[in-house]
Amino acid sequence: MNKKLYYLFFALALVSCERPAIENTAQLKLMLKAEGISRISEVSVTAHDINMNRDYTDTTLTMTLPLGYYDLAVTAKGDGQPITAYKRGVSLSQDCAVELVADFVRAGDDHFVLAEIFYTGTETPEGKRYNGDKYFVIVNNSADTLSADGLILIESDLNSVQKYNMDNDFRDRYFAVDAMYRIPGDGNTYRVAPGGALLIVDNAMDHTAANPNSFDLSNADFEWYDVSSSAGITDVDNPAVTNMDKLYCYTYTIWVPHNQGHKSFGLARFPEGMTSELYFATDSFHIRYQYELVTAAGTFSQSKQSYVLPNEWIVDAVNLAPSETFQWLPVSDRLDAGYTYVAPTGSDVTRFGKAVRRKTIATLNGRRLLKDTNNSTDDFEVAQKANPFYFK
Amino acid sequence: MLVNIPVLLQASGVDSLALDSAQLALLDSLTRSFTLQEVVVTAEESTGKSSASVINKEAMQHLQPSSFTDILQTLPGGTTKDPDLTHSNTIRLREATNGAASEDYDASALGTSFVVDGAPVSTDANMQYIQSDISGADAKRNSVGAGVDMRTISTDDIEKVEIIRGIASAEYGDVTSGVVKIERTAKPTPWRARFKADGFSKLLFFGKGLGWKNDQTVLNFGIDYLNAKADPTNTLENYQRITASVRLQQKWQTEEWKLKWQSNWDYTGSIDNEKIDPDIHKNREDSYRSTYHKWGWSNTLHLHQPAVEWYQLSVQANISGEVDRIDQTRLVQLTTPKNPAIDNMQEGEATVSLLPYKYTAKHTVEGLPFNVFIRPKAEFFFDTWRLNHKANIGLEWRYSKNFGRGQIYDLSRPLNYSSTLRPRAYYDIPATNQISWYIQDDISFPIHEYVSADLNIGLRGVTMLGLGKAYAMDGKCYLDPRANLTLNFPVSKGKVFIAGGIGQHTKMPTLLQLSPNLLYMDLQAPDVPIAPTDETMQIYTHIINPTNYDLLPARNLKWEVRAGLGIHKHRLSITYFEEDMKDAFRYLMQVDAFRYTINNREYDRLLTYSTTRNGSHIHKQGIEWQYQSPRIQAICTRFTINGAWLRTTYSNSEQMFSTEKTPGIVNGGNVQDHYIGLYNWTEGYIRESLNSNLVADVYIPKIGLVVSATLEATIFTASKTLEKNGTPVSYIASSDGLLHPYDAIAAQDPVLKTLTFDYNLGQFVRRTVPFEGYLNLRVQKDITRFASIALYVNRLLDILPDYTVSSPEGSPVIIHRTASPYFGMEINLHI
Repeated sequence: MNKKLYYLFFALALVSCERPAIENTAQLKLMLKAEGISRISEVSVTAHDINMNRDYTDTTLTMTLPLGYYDLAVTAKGDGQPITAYKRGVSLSQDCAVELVADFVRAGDDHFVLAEIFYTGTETPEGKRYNGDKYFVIVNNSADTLSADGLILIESDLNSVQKYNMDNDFRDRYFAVDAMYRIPGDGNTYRVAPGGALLIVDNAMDHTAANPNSFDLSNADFEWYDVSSSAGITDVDNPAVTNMDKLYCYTYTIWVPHNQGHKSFGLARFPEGMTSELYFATDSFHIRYQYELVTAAGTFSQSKQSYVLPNEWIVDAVNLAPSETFQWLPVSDRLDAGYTYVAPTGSDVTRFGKAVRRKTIATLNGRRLLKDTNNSTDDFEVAQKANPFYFK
Repeated sequence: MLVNIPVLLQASGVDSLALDSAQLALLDSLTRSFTLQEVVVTAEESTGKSSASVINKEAMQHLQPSSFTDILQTLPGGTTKDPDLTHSNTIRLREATNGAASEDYDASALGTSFVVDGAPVSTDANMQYIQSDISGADAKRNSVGAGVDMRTISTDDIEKVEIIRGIASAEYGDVTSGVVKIERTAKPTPWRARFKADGFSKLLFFGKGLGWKNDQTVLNFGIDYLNAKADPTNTLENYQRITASVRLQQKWQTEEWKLKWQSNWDYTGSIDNEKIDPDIHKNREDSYRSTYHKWGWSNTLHLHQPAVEWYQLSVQANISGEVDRIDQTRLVQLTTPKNPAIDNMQEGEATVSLLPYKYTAKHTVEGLPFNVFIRPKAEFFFDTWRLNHKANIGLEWRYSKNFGRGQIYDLSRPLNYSSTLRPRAYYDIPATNQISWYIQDDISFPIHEYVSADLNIGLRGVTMLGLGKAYAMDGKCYLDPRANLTLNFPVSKGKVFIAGGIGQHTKMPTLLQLSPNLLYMDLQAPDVPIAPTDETMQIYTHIINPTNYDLLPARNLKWEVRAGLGIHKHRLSITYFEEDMKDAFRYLMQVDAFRYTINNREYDRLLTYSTTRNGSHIHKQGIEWQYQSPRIQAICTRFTINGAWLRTTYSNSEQMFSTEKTPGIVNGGNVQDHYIGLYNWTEGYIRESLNSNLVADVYIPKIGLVVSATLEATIFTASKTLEKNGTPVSYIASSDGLLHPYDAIAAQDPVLKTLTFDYNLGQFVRRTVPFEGYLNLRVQKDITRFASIALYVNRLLDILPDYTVSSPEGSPVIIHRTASPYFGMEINLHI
């Protein structure tokens, strides 16, 4: 259960030593501050020498290291829960104090994150759009092997470029969805090692035949497949690739992630005992609300019905908004306090083929440790050339 | 001009109409100078029995129009609009000016009859649209089901336009909203040439009227060329029009008979073009071109015996044919990987191949509309007791057919690959034959020493022939009774009048509305997905005939009351009107439950499609006013005030199925495939506008200068969405195809509860846009005896105060408005 998601503030500090360094090594002392946590155990520190591309590991917070330029990463248990902390680009030239900015670290049973989101689609050499190759990469950002079974990929119903004044601003409690696709499995079917990535695609096939500017996604881990009884609306199902369970979608046609990047995406998990049937039969997860749509031309009264997931069920959330048209956060700022993008405006024609990608803090024993401060403005690299295999 | 004669005669003290040729010549010159004195550069309110605006040649020249659309700004409630020649221009009489009504309410435009020299223009066989391309280049240009595209009407040959806003006499049929009567020049004229240019278009016109044998034979001809662009810097999206007209009038006279033959030959050609700049290496194959060539030949024979004063006979016959063609080419690349190329034309299972990822789609629409109109009519003049009658009976035959091949394309390489439309030849669509008759009487009679009355009373009947028994309209005669009454109260130097009218108006459906194309529903097995390696797909094609055999004509009941005066050249009239059309044509969603089998597995689902129904309700209401002052000699200026308060309600008139807010997939199941709600709601909106224009026109004959300044004030516009009840009355289920009541149990069901739609009461609040004002300027100046120049500026000055939109929650929003002027100028030559 993820109810115990802790939002911990860390101060990761270099404490200065008493005398100037005269050797080519220096002592590094880390102080880990975690709000609300009384006992820290099972510490594992990795210092990655960026220039030498060499890792130094230790199980204590004090290390002696060659002078250099380091990415530091710590994993530990705080009151029994896994916690992590990291700091990039720490210069160790002498024994002096360096104050580190506190990083927001989350711990929990689940530590899957959305690592790369490719929502724009590609452009053909002839200048037409191609949509069938959108994908999501999720990464196990924890130190433990985790099961991906039951993880639900969600798209937000609210939109980052259309601000609502809601009669009942539920964002502090709920994440309103317009699509929910769940990874199947019995709880132990799809196990992902620390740092392991899952590629979830619209269509698991070689798209380069349709569009040379696209990718071969034949070997994806999962695909979302939209059943249709109309021949004019056709989704493709690769029998070799597992389909996600489609729980909900606003449209009865094919779900295509919002290609201008106005929606938020997330990962969620039903708590124990919650089934799809029970979820849809529970009135409190289907809310009706009224709002004022705020636009440059005035405000417009609207109403809507949305299916919602309690914020406690959300494992990870990423807000997307074009940098020049951002209006508001579609989800609680506790889930994501920022937003990321591939273009300044939604209709920017250079957006195709670009994705947002989570920053790598450090490489820890060969695995990437991804930045997850619950602020995608800081956590993501914007407008990256899409590469579905970057994290593979 | 002839209407001015009695006035002139009064002014010059002549009291007899028996004139010899010398007197006629004098009269002609007097009339000409008199008309110059009385030059009217605005629309005038008609002195007839119904509310109508009359726009004469001088007013049109002063307006400097590019097409007929520009003339409508002179109507009460009209506002200046810049020419927009790369979209179709349809007419909206007596409708509030704010916001275009959706195509659900096109019946208003369809029911406005354009009558050119007595011949109605039929658009019933117009099917020039690209069926599968609802958002492309074609969507903004086609006017199918929306009447006349006014871009195609040039104005230079027009002598006079009368727009009957009120109750038209029974002589005018196949009309609901109003009648636009266009009379073209039929008299000797000097050579005329006009060259107009504005930021977006250029227009060139030449014309001449010749007369022989004391004008027993008159030949007029004119040719006009217009080239307009969507954007002055973009030569790839444009509109071109050529109109040519030759009109012959021949009179024969014997001792006993007077015979007049009017024969008009008309050509209109237009080309809409849209291409992509080939220098941009994207979409370079894509192009759109819509061409329209229309020929019309209209003949009228008018016969009367001068010795027998009580009757006149005439017969009018006109035929028109068009060669219309749309060619669209598009490089299609699939946006999603696999899509079927559906070419199955049979009901049942079929195996179809898949589309290639990339292909060039070529789509042609060939329409050859052909219309015939024949009307013999007789007029009778007689007196009964103290009543003076001018009676008129007529019989009409209207025939519309389209001989085109229709939508022509390779079914396996469609423009829009998700479309499941199948083409058909337009020549397979049955023609429409309308027979109508009318009888009407204009009766004048004195009621009292101080009161006289003019009554127009008429009855019109229309029947659609050869429809077939299946149609509810078959063989039925629809009657339009119409009456207008004016009471005149003579006062010193003029008269005061009150008037009123009421009338039923009927518009028959178009060919496409009567005989829509068959619908092909291509279904797949939801549980048998298509794999990346598949090269075919198994489908089931279900054919639905969407013909609505219960379709009835659209009928508009109009009434109005008027009051006014004409005293000492001050003319004032005020009209209150209401129009109610409850059965206007619109597409409404139909739902059928359907079971089908693919590979021996049975599936059920709901199929939705649209049919033409009498489902729209258009209610028009308003007050129109017009005041015209005499020309004040000291400042050579005449003032005209006209304006209108218009309130138009657009709504549905039948219960509606809707999936407007139905979610797609709930708990893994497709909701709309299995449940659709039926709503007994009013879906629609109210538009309201109040505006008034003040025109001051200065005419200085000595220097040949006409200047008019128009202060155009829109006091407010308002709009309101009609309250909607989002709780269905019932729902249809795919399992049994029956309507089930939407009761408390249904409202609790996890899936069915989503059929209840919520609306925010704030959506139904009336939203008002406050005052906007503009100053427009038009100048005409004679530069020699043979030439004049003219220019106009729309929105030379603007008054657009900021206003605040307040919202119950959040901070108010301040709206800034801006406007930019629009210029045009022209040179006119008279040689």
